[in-house]
Amino acid sequence: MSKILELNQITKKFGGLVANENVSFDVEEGEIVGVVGPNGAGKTTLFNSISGAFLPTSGSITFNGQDITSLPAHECAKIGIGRTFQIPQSLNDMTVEDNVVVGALCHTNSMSEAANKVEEVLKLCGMEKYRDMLAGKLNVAQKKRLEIARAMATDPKLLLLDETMAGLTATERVEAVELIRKINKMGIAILTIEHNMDVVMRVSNRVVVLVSGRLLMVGSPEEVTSNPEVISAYLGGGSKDESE
Amino acid sequence: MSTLLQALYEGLINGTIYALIAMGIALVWGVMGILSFSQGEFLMIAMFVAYFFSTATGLPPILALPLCMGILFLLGLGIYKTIIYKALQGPTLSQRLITFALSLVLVNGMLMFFGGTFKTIQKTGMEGSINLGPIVVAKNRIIPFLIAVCVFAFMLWFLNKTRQGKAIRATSMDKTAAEHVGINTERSYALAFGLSAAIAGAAGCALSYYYYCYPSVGGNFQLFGFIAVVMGGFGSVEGAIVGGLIMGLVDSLTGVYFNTAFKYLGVCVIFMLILQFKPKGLFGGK
Amino acid sequence: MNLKKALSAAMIGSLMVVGLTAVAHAEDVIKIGWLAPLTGTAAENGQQVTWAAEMIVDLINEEHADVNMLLAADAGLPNLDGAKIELVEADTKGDTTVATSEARRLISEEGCVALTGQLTSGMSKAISVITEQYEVPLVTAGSAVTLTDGSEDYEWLFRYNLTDNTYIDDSFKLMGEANEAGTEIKTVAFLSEDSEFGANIVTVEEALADEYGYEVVENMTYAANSTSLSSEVIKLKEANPDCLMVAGYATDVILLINTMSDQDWFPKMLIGQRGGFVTADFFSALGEKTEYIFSTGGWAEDIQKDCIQSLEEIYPEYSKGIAFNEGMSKDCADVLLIASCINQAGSTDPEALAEALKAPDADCTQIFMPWTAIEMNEYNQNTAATGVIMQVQGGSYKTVYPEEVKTVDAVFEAPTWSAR
Repeated sequence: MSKILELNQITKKFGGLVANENVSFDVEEGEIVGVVGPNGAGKTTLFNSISGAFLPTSGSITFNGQDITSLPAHECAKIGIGRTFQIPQSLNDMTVEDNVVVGALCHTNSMSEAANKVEEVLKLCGMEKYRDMLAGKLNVAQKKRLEIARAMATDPKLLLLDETMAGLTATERVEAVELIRKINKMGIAILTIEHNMDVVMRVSNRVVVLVSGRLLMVGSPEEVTSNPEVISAYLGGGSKDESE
Repeated sequence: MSTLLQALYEGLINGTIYALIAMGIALVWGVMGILSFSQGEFLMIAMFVAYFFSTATGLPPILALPLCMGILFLLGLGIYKTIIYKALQGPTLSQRLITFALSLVLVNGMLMFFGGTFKTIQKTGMEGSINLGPIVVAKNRIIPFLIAVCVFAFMLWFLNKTRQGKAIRATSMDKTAAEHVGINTERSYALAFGLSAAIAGAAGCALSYYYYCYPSVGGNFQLFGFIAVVMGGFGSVEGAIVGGLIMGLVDSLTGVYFNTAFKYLGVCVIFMLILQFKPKGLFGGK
Repeated sequence: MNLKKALSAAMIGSLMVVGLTAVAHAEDVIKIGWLAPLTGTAAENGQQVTWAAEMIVDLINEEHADVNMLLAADAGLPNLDGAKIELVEADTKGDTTVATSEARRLISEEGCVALTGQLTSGMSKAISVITEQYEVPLVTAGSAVTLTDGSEDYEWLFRYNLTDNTYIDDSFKLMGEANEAGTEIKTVAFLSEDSEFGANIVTVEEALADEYGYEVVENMTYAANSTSLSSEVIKLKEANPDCLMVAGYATDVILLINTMSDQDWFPKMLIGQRGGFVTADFFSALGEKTEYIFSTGGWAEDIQKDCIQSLEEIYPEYSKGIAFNEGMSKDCADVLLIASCINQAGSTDPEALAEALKAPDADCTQIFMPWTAIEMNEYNQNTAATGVIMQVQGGSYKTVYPEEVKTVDAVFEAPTWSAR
């Protein structure tokens, strides 16, 4: 298997604050990698560096063999990095369908081609019945699905999911896990930030643990859960997170 | 009855010009959060373009429409790339004031090059009026009206139905989200600024049919445009159009049925009433 | 500290040198302060009037035996050993605040012995505060009632041009002539801009309409620089007066006439009260639409006086070809009168100059205005000033009133737009 994403010594500083320090790990093609860590561990910052929202202070990011360290967000989207946001950033004054259309136009100029893509993605995410609704009117679970749908419309090779499960009910979580698996079966690699350990352990092939901006370890879900360092860091750093 | 119809008609016609100005302001504000104080000056420059075209060639000003819109689009793009782009990286106050400074530069620049005399196009090819029973329709107001309607239709189509239009709307709703689905928001900004200048360009071409042109002509139209934008809901292009038309109608009806001295008062009272009941404007705060 | 002291010493030194120079040349150059809008929206017109004033000063300073105007034959002022007039120009930007501070500067720093310029009524009032304080004569053509009726107790304000009353009185007399000639004029409407200029005119119009027995069917004011005058024209059309009297500046006059043409309405008589009607823009912007429009005026290009013909020939050299007009004539006549009175007083002493300004002994045939005499009343107003009424015929203003100076007959009933 070849590597779709390689992080090499990524450091991101905001003034004196170090959000990420020398973080290195890889994502294989078709893999689901979970990213865990207490609040303030630098998970979302890392996502921002990968997806081009931030320029890392040092280190390099390689996607599909191409150096994308300094590539801006919209270029990252074009070469196949899709992402969702912790707090859904839906385009509230547009319909659900138009939200997805905007994503689909990433790769085509033709509105009819985009329309086909939109059908496909709406079906995949089970959002067909909401298509004419304004995105602003959706509930949280629906908005999270819309985020995924919009990202999927850009035809990603790697999908970055930022706390897709947060704020969902148990039933909604089950549906979401199902959706993630379905997407992964289409051959799309997934990097997911998740607080719910149960979910992470069930979907991930491997898990990356960040603590205070540094990489604590990478390993299989079993390895990670049995590591005493992880347990102490986790319980010590952010016990509240578990309650979500 | 005939007076009422005439007043409604004239109000509507004048309202389309306010609406065009307002549309450009709403677009720029919605997309990049900049108050475009230079919209009236873009209108003025287009009026000069239409005037010089028409007097030099003897052709009606409508033929200068592509020229007006094209020149203004490029001017808007150039101004964005050189001035606005830099200001957007600066503090909020400089973002607020930059277009104000720009408008002063444009007014005084035009004053230097072309002088302050009032210029009107005397041969528009549409002289005289048509008597339609209850109302008199001045021929030279027909084309401005058509231009405005076409621009409204085009912009609504463009923003809602085309790729770039959707990109601009997505950028205005959520810049970050837009970037992560592959939208070059920098281009959306430039395009939105260029387009808003081009809309003012169309307004200038339309207005040149019956209004005099001189370097400070934009001021009052700009002011009315702003009120229309706030009335319609800041940033909403549809709202700006409706706001502009309301302004025209109120202006005309107050003048005819109350007192011409209170025209602007009427506009301001309606403006305050709307804000009283819908603080975010007619189309704001969905 | 030392540096500061040295600097201030140097400054005082140089000031003294400047002061000494000023004294040394005081007799050779006499400064008259000239205030006009040289930038801003009114700049074009302000510049044209300023060129006219420069022309008058050149005619005074140089020898022009061929021009039959006061002081033109000799170089400089003969009673002051040929002293030259210097016009110190200041830009009012069309803003009363700027005008006030410039007026102060002209007097206290430039040492001007009198002020004049292209001044609106409002601006004249503002500047008069300064000239009263410094006791320096201000000569203005601004004709608001309060500037002319003595109600404000001006001591240093002088007016040689007409008052609004005269202009408007002439207008009503012209309507009388129309009725005599068989064109029935019974109803009038007034349309005036809402600042000092329009407000003063409409007051006089109302009083005189009553006195002459005309029915006022509409009386409207509007905000200057209007984006639209549609509702005004709708109302006028509905009221349909026989005669419409308009007081407005160029922008609104242009918009008004265009809107009237768009709505296909024109009264039998349209009389403009100068303002926008006597600017070059009026003709360049409106072209053929100006035909049949009347305007009152303090001057007309076809008045038969030698010096008027001379100025009409010379002025285009100063103005890149623009013709000398009514708007310019009034303001630069003030320059000529100031120079003439300084010459008459034989001194630049303010009191002596004021005495001369109160009783100029100038020969009116050598003044390029229609007046035949200058008679100053106790409020320093020229009661002998006479005006004209002109009508656009064949693309330019022709004098149609009064009988004694008219060059053509008035057309009292203008044809409709479609009949032109």
